[in-house]
Amino acid sequence: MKQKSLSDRRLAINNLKRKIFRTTCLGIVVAMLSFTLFGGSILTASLKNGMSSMKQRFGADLMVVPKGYEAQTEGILLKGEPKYFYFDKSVAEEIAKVEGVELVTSQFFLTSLSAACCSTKVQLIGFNPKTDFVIQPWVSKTYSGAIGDGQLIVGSDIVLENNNTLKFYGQSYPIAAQLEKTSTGLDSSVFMNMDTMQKLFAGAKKVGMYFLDEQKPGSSISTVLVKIDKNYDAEIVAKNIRSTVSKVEVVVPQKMISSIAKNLDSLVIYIQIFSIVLWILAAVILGIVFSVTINERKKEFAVLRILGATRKKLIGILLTESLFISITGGIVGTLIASISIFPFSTYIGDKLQLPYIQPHTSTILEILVLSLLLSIVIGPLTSGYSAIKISRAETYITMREGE
Amino acid sequence: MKNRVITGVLFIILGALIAFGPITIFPVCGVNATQQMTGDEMDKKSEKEGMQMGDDKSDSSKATDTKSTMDMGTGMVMKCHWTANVELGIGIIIALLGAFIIIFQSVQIRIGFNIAIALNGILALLIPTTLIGVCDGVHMHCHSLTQPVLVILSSAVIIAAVANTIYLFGINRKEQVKV
Amino acid sequence: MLLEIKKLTKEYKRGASSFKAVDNVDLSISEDDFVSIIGRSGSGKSTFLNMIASLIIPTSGSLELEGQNILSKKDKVTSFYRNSKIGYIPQGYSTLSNLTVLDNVRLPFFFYKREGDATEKALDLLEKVGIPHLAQSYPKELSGGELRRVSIARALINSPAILLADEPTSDLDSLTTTDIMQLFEQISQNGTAILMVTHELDTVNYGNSVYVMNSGVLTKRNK
Repeated sequence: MKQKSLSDRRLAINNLKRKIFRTTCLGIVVAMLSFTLFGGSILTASLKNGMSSMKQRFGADLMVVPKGYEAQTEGILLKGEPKYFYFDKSVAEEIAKVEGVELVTSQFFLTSLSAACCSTKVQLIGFNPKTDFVIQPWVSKTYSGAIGDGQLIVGSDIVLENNNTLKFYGQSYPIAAQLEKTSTGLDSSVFMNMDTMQKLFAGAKKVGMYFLDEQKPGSSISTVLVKIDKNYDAEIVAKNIRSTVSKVEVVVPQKMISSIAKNLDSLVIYIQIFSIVLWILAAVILGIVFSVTINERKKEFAVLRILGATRKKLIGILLTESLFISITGGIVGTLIASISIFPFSTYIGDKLQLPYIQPHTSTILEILVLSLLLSIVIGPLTSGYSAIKISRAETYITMREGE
Repeated sequence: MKNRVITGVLFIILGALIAFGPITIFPVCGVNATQQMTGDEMDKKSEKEGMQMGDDKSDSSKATDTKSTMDMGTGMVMKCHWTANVELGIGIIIALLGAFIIIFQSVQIRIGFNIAIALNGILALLIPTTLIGVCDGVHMHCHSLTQPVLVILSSAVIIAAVANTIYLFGINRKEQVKV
Repeated sequence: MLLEIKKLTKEYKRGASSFKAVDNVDLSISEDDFVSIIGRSGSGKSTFLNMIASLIIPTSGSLELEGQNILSKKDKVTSFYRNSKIGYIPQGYSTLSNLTVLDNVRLPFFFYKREGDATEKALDLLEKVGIPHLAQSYPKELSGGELRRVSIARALINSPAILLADEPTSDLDSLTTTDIMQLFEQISQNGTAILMVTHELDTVNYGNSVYVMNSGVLTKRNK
């Protein structure tokens, strides 16, 4: 009958198996720690990722819209709620003359319907490729061609028909590219040049949709996007525009973003503080439990010393036990955190109502390694002191104390 | 005895979650809906919904999704509704098989039940993903919550059932050697 | 001589004064000796035994086993000595409850790299001490006498030069005591030296020499 040799590892496992309840409880403590560390770090990284993406995407320093439509504009930008409003395109020329304004470009909004005429209900945005400085730089990151007539560029959340087209108002349009997630409302928007927008508008009229009254679409726009001279302050230029141009409102995207950023920063700080506190708590709990259990086992250690185990071996057995607990707990906690977070990325972002984009795989792996390390190291760290103490005690005395 | 009870209870819980979860705690779209409309009525309703300048009439796409299982345009019930129905059936079967595992002592019978649970688990996994699926919109509740939960639960069922089958095969072999 | 002890002393400090637990002890043991040391509790006999086992560091004196000085400050050296050269049977119960009887016996074999089959040796020893059927049992299922046999088998696993037994029968009934002492005699006859410390007079009838320890002083008693 061939039996396995009694290495330190086997002795450690045996010891853990015989006190399975205690082993499990300690493992759960470490699992909770690694769950919080990994889960919290992924949440934090995703929120920061989403925030930086949002900051980059808006492109324009100011957005000028018809008076009274400020709230709807925020709806489009943040939540992708399809809206439409118009004013005369001459407004763009007036704005271009205002002091502090460097560049202007206009956009035309339309919405589709959740009806037979359309694939899906979304925000439709027409832009002027000649003057645009917002969409095309962003589009070029994923698609290098120009947006031709009749072509669409869609946000990451848009679901396409099987043949890579979308139908709006009875007409199918091919998709030139689908953009990366931005965690802004633009993820559920569709972009096209003004000529294509004219076609869509005509199509809408055919099915009985009148977005505008008698005005021709060519003479109306929905918004003017402004890039300011870098020597000017956005708020001051906005004030200038309000006082110069009538019946308009100016939205400052950065202001909108900064209030979101504040909420996000608070949440991130809470997560980080909670993680640190939990690590300390776990260390204290493990330290106490290891100290108590090691004291309980004085006689066992004395016997091992009597049988010829060196101090180093004794410490080795104890550290192996604590390492097993923290490795197992660390892996289990990380696994549960992964299952709880990655499949529910969209849901979490929606519930938090904050920009949320999962980081790249390389970042996730970095976070994984760090979280596991911090969880794994806690076992040996907290048992180390007690292990060294018990190995130092004179064997004979330990033996008698243990009796 | 321990194996019987632990695995049996596990499958009862997982089965119950698969069956009732999609209609309660992680619901598909339109769980509260009662409306039934024809396609034409849908179109007319949409047209009337304010296409005048300056009217704030269009809802957010999300708001519409959770109010009705009906696709406003086509008048058909959404896919997620059927997924929930089928998962109800499969989940109940898994739970019942779990109960049978607790009842029967014979190792071979329990192996059979575990294999059956594993197969049902595979079905529970395929229904919300490929066989029927859920709504396409990524922000729709059935897509962002119900589908991933069902995938996780059914995967857990499959893994547990396969692991238990292997374990019971080992026990069975040991018993046969003894005899 | 297998074991040569010269002027071994252990002095302890109690407050301002000091006292000698073991006072200038000389002792020589050969391979075929079975030596018993009797004395009251507190006479210093256990301290003496534990110094030989290098569990307690002597204050002065010399200790040579197989011609080699075994007094050392290095933990590695004393631990190896304790594992390989001597078989120590501690007082009371000293089996590890987490391991089976077989594993308890095999355990010291694995502390250092060795050739041979530990399992075969352990089973052989369990046979010799009369409990081969308990190999897969756990210590909590054994009686006092059976546990003592496990300790004896474990002490022999590395074929030590000398067996040190600290009150091996103190918590056993008279019948079991007889069994254990007969086992010791067998081991002695097989060529392992035995040094036993006891406070039970009956047990000194076994073995070939008896010493008395009194307040740290060792004197030979005529058998």
